[in-house]
Amino acid sequence: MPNYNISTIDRIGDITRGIHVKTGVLANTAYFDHNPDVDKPLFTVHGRIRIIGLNCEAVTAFAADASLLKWTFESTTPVIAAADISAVSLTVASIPIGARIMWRGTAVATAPDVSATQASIAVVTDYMDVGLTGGIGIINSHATIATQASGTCLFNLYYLPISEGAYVEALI
Amino acid sequence: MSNYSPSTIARIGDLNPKRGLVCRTATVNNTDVFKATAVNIFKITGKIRIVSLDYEAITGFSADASVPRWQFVSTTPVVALTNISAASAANTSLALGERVVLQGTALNTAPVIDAAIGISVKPANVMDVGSEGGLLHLAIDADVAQTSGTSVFTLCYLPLTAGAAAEALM
Repeated sequence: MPNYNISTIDRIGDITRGIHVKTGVLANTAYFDHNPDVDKPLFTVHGRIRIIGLNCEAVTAFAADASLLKWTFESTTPVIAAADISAVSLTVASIPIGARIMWRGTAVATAPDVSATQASIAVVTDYMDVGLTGGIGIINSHATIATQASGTCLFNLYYLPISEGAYVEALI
Repeated sequence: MSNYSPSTIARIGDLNPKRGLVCRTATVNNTDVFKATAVNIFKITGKIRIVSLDYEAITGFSADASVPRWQFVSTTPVVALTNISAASAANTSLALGERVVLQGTALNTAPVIDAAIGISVKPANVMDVGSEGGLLHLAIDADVAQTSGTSVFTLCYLPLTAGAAAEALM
């Protein structure tokens, strides 16, 4: 059995599950803010990419507010309005530390799963391409129904490039 | 989290079976590819697995009701032009950034036009084409010609036989 160092394991992960980009740790009061009811930019997409995985992880436990979460994609170059890449999730109220809200990718109207623990079941197997050849876009999160009063989270994206030079950067 | 160069990011894509090797045309004039007859887009050596196959409007399509379908024509061994999809819904005035994606489910399954610009859902299935030691072309037949606009064709594939490869013809 090989005895890889951590950086090698990281590289193997990038190759097999897609390149990982994550946001910083974010306050739920800002990123699960139902008022105003707006898109919150997470990742800049250069060119066209294939989303292999996208999720939101509770870094600290969420408040008991019944927020729902969805993701959207918008093109900024050229300018094309945001469109849903998921339906809204079930409530994220009181999810514990380490629990995740998982984008499914099956269709733009498929709801994300909300896990009750750190163990995510039925791991995502579908993917979705977003972005335009030579364009620039943004993957947003969007909370509805209720604002989280406390808790923190971070967003993870796993992707593969499709167009020449395509890549992703975390915006926050 | 790593900070890879673009060439390394591209190689990571090559190694992942959810994308595989990517083969793309240059930006082509629609008048050269969306015609009333079949036009060869990719040359396939050996046998490959099509992970995804699509075209993207780099500029908007003309208001002509093209209904492109994908076909293959094998030269080694000789096999007549054969549909690998049904005709798509009309590509009339396809918007910049919109894509039309082969589904791979059956030879008479129509490609799907993006419901939202710049967002393409995973094709329903993969499809294998070609044969051991063979040579074929993937072609598109639009039945009704486009009179303006430009496109890029993208084929993501995995090789299935020794030496199998795809090459964009334009």
